[in-house]
Amino acid sequence: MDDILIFLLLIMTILYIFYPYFEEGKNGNTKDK
Amino acid sequence: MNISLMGQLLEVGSLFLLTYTFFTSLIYLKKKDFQILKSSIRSFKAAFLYSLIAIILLIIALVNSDFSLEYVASYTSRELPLFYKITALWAGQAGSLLFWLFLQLTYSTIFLKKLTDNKRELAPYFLLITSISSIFFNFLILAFTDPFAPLNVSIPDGRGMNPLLQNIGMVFHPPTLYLGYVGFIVPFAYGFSYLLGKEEEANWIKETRKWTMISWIFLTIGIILGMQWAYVELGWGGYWGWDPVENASLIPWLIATAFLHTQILENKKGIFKKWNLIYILFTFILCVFGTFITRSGFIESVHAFTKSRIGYYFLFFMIGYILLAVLILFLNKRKVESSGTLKEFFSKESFLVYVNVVLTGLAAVVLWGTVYPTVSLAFFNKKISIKEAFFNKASIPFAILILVLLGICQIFDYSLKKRSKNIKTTGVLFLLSLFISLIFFKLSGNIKFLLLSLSTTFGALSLLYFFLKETKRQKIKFFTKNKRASGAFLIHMGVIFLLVGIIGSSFFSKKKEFIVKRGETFKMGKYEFKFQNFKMFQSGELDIIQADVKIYKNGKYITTLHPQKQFHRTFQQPISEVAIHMTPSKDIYIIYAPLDIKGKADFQVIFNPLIFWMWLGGIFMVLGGILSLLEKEERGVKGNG
Repeated sequence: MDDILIFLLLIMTILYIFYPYFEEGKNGNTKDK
Repeated sequence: MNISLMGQLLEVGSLFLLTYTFFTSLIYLKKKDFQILKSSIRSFKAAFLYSLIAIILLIIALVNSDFSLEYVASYTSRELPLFYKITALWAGQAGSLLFWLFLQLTYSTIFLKKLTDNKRELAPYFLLITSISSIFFNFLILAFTDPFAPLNVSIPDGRGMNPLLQNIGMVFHPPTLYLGYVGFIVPFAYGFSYLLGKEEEANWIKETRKWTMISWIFLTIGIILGMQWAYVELGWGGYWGWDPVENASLIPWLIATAFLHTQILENKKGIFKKWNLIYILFTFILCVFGTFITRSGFIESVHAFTKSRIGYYFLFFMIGYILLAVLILFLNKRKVESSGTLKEFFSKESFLVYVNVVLTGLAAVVLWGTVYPTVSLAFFNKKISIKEAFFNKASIPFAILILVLLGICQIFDYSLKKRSKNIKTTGVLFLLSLFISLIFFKLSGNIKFLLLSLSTTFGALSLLYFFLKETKRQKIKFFTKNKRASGAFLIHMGVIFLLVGIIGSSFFSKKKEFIVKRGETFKMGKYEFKFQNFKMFQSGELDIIQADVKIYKNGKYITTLHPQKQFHRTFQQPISEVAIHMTPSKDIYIIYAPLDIKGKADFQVIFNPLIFWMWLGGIFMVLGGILSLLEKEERGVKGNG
């Protein structure tokens, strides 16, 4: 039970944090002006 | 579920997330890649979520009396009522620090949302500063004082909560104080962001004022509740003992109050920019100093529960932040150059500066009195203890000055055109106050009392004058439209009430001790007390002896009070549960100590005049603060200081 919870938390955190890197910026440009 | 393991993993996880936030914000500042910033913000939010889950887990463990955790076993027991079990979250060092971390992340996340909605370029700086502070607390929790540390032996019941902490005050005093302390992280981190990033000054001062006010309100509630708790629980008839920990909450309060006065000048005239920034940075550093005192045992205090190494880390942390603040301020000093100077020394603007100076002076004296015994021991090898009398004596001139300035600021207008009229009004009100206070002077021949009552009366009359002037000009609109000025008015009324209570109880408190048998009566002033009966009973973990004391005034029955002596099964020291009859003119405060089983008892009766006004003053200050926050539209303060 504990293992599953920890695993889920870890996966969800990683997905949540690194998601922006896979998201396309507007017109492909991710740089801030 | 293994709560200990889960909790520790969450703590380790949030430390990782915060470290990731720190480095990614740094990288963003170099690369300016928005994806990195987005990821950084998300990581910070995840750390907040982790700390929230950790807090929930700890509360579950406390409520379920899960004694597999050392913390739960040390501060609760099975018989402890449910709400005290929950409050055990902040009863010990480990829980308090976790709670601090959680609040810090909560405040920062709320403000971050606002920042990222409008001013994305400030977010990385804000993240940098808040993540450093959060990493520090998270590290302390993991390395020294982990609330999720397991207890390796199995025990039938926990140690229980210190009976002194088992009071309604425990429910509200620590969390409000923490909400006050920690809330200053927002103006603090925003101040740094303002210095380093591109932000409009008007925005900065507006937001900082708002967030400082929020923390100020919580800190005020926390301090007043602490006074109330000490008054009803410690059984010595007082409410403020100038204990280092009390002082440590007063010092940031004074500095934040000083800031709230001079920010008006920046708002209106664009002056005192540097000053304001330094004040707001120091408020948070002084809050950390407060925690340092509570947690280190560095300074002897009734609140300093433990002597641990943790204090030295706090010291490094504070020094680090001070150096960082000085360095960044020095490098960006152009940004906070004032656009003008204060030309008049006899104007409303300059009086606001004097308010700031006096409040800072008082804060400095209190700070010095608090740390001097330690400094003296460390550097001169001399053991000195600074008693209450020093603080009482030293704070009187400051109190007088504060009251006089409070009054003058109500009378003076920002416009110089009316100056001569303002001076005349001041003179008239001063003479009137002198006349009234000379009548009071008959009550006590004390010169300090004369000066204090003179300045209090002057402050009160000036506020009345201000109120009449504003309501005549704006009618009811004063309270509905100009919330900031009317809020300030209520706060200042609160200050007057508070001081009326302090002066009354300090100069006219009377105490008498009586040893009587059951059924006997004793007399103090116009009051007669009858020790009717006593009974013994059990309540939870307590064995209680309770006396019934009937009170008569001039032979007429008023009320019956029930002071108690409580004996806790785990804790040796018995406690006095005092009984208080409160009226606007005086509190009748009874402390009971049974001497034998036949009913012989010792009663201490204290007459504390005007204490009621002190609590009322506290309520006014908080309500005024809330009212002033309700004003949406931004504009300069008209009328009030």
